[in-house]
Amino acid sequence: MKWGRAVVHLVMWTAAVACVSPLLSLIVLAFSAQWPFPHLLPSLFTADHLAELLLSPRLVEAVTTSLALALLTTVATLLLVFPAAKAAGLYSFRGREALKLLALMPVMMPAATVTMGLHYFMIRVGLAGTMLGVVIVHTVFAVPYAFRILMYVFEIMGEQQEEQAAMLGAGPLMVFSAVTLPLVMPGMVAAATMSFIISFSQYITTFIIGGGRLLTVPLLLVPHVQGGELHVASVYSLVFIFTALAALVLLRAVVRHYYRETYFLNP
Amino acid sequence: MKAASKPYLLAAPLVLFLTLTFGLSLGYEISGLTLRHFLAVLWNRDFVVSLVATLSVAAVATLVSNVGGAALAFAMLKARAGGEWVRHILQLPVIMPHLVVTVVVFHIFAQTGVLARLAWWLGFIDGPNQFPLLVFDHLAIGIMLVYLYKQIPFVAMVCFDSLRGISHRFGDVGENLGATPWQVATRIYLPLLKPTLMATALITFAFAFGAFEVPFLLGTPLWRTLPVEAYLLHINIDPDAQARSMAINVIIAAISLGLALVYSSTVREVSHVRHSDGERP
Amino acid sequence: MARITLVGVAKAFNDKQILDRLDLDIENGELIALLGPSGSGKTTLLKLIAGLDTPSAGRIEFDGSDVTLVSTRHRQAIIVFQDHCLFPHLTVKENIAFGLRARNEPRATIDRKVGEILEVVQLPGRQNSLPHALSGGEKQRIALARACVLKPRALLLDEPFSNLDVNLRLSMREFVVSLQRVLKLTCVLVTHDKEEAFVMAERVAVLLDGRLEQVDTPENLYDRPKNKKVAEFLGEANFFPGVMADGVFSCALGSFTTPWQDTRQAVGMVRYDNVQLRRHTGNALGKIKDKVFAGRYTFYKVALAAGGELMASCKESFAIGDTVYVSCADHAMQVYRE
Repeated sequence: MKWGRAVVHLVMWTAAVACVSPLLSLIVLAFSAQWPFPHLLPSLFTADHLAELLLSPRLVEAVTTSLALALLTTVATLLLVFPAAKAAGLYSFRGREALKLLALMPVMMPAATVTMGLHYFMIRVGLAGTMLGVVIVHTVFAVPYAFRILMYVFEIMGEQQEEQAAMLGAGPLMVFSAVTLPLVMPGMVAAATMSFIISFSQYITTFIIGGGRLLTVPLLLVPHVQGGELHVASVYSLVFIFTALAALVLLRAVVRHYYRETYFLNP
Repeated sequence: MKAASKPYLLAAPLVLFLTLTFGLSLGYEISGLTLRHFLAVLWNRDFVVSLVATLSVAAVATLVSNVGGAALAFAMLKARAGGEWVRHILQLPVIMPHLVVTVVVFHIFAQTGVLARLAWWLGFIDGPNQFPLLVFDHLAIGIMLVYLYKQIPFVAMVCFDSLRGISHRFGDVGENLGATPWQVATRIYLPLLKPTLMATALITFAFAFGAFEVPFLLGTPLWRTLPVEAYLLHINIDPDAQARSMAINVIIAAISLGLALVYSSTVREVSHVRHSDGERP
Repeated sequence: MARITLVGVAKAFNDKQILDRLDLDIENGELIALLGPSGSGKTTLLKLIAGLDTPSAGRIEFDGSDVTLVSTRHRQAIIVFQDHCLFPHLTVKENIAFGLRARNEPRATIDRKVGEILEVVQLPGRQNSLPHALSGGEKQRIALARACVLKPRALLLDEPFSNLDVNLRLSMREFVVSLQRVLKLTCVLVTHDKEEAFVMAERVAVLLDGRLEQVDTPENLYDRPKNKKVAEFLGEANFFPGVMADGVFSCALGSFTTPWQDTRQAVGMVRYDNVQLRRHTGNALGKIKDKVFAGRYTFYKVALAAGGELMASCKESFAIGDTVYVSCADHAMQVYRE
C-alpha cells in the first residue's frame, strides 16, 4: 500500500527528530545568555558566559570526581562480575538460576530506597561521605547490566575454546590471557561502558552516601534545574554528555589498540 | 578436569557482595521499625495517595511506552533501511541520563517553555499563566514525558532486535497462506514478541515505580511519589519521621522484590549454554 | 605417538551410565576408528582420553604409565573437533603456533615448524589469514596442522568431516590417513559413518550403548559381526529366526553349519548383498514385492512363500511380481544364540 509506506516513513522521521531535537535544544540553550518569554529565539547568543562556567573550579572538581567514581565503579563491577558471569555462562550447576536472579535483581530495586538503608550502615562503619562508600553503592546498580552482558558473551563462547587451549598445552594463565580475555573483550567493553554510564549518571545515591562531601556533575546540575536556571543547567548537561562520550571513546580506542576485532560468534 | 565446586567459587565474590549490600540495607530499614510505626504509615491518607499515584504513574508510563515502543519496532521493521538508521539514533535517548532529559522537558513544556512561546506566537495565549500546567502538574505529565522519552526508545530497541532475530520466513509463510500484513503482525510476530514485552514491561514498571530524580524535580506540590516521600522523611532528623521513612522503604522494597520474583518466574531467558560435546545442560 | 590402553573405563553422568567398563588396547602409531551411533558415548570417551574429563571408574594408560589423573595440559592428547575450533581472533600462523608457544619454544623454531606443517597440509600461503576467511576444508586442515605440529601422543578426531560436503570429505579422508602415516601418530577417529571407518582405519571399535561390542578389522567386522546388536548397527541385515541342533542351524532359507553343538533357538543373519536371487534354482521360493534402484545396486524386497520377508541387493534385474529363488552361501549366514 502506498500510503502504508508513507506512514511508516513519517513515523521514522518523527522518531528521528524526537530523539535528536532534545540534544539540539540543549545546545541552543547553552549558547543563550538571555531568553525571556515570549521570544521564540534567544535574544542574546553568546559564548561569553561559557568560559566562566566551564573553567569554574567547581565544575572541574565535579568532572574529576565523576570520572574517578565511574572508573572505580567500572573496575569493581568487572572484577566482581567476570568470574560470576563465567560460572553462569559456562557451567550448569544447582543454584545457577538463583545466581541469575540475585545478579539481575538490582535492576528492579529502586536506588533511592536501597541507598537509604545502606546509608544507616555506612554511617555506622564510617563509610558515609567517602568515595569508597559511593563506589560500593554505584557498583550494586551497575552489576546487573554488566552481568547480563558478560554472561551472554560466555554462553556464546562456550568452553570449547578454553578446552582446546588446554589440550594444546597451555597453562591456566595462558588460557586466560591468550584465549578467554580476547574472546570476551567485546563483552567486557560493553559491560564497562554500561557500568561507566550508570555510575556517571547517579544522583541520589551519590547525594545520600556522599553527604554533600562529594561533588559530581549530576549533583552540580540539579540545583540549577530546581532553580530554573536552564542556561546553566544546559551547559552542565552538555559537559556531562561530552565527558561521558569522551571517556568511552578513549576506552574503545585503547582496547582496539591492544586487541584485534574478534569474531567470537562461530563462523 | 572440572571441579564441581568451581562455579561456586567463581560466583562467591559477587554473591557475597550483593547479599551483604541488600541484606544490610533491608536490615537497617527493618531494625528501626515496630509494627506500630508500620501501621501508622499505612493508615495515613498521604501514604495511600502517594502509593496510588506512584503505581498509576508507573502503570500508565509502562502501558504507553510498551505499546508505543512495540509499534515503533514494527514500523522500523517495515522501514528496512530507514529502520536500521532509527535503530542507531534510538541509542541517543537511551544514553542520555534522566536528569538531562528532565532539563529538556522542562525547557520545552514548562509554562515559559518552547511550546508556550509557540502558543503565544500563534495567538493562543496572552501570557505564560494561560499555558496548561504540564510540568509540576498533579497529573504528572512532565514526569511521564521524561519516562516516555527514555522508555519508548528502550522498548523499541529491544523489540526490534528481537523481531530481527525472528526469521522473516514466518512472515513470508503467513503471506503465502493469505494473511494480511496486519494479521501477520498481530497473529505471528506479536505472540512471538510476548516474552520480550513481558520483560520490558516489568523493567519499565519497576523503574518508574522506584524512580527518584524525575519525580523529585518535576513533581507537583500536591502529592509525592513514594520514593520521594521516603527521602524527604529520611533527611528529617525527627526520629518519628525516620521511622516512617523506613516503613515506606520497606514497603517499596517488598513491592519491588515481588516484581523481581514475577520477572524471574515468567521471563524465561533462552539459554545459549552449550557444552563442547554439543549437549545442553 | 603412544600406546593407549583403557582398563575398565567407565563414566556416568547424574546416574546415567554413559560408558560401561571399556577395555581397549591401541597400538603405537595405529589408526583406530571408534564407530557408533549418536549418543553412544564416543565423544565422552575421547574427552576421557584427552583428559578433559575423568572416568568414574577404571584407568587410562599411555605407554604403560597411568595418566588417568594427569591434567589435559600435560597429557598431549589433542582432540580436533567437528567445528575445528580455531581461535577466531588469531591468524592461521598464531593458531598453529599456539601449542609451541605454550611450550616456550624459541621464535625461530616456531616459525620453521609452522612453515613445515603448512607445507604438509598444503596451505603454504595462508599464514596471516584469519579463520573466518578460510573455507571449511581449509579450516579443518589448519586445525589438524595445529594439533600435528606438536607431535602429540594421541591425535583424537571427533567426527571431523561431518560438516564438509561429500567430495571434500573424501579427499580429507585420504589426507588424514596419509598425514597419520607420515607422522606415525596414534590416532583415534570417532565416526558414525561405517564407510568412513572401514575406509580409513586398520581396526574398528564398535561402541553401542556405552559398551565396546566388537573390536576388529573392517573385513571381519563386515563379514562376521559378533552379535545381533552389531549386525543391526552395521545395517543392511536380514534376520531369520530358527533352531540350532548338532551344529546345524535351520531356518526359512535352509540349513547352515554352525560351530556350536547345543540345541536351542537361534537367529541367523544374512547381509542384503549376500542374498542370492535366481530365477530357476535355490533354497526358498519367493516373490518380488518391491524394487528400488540405487545406482550401484538394486534393492529388492522379497516375500517368501513360506512366510516372512527379506531384502536383497544385487545387480541383476527383476520386475515386481517376479518369482525368484532365494539362497545364500553357508559361510554368509551368521548365527547368533539368543
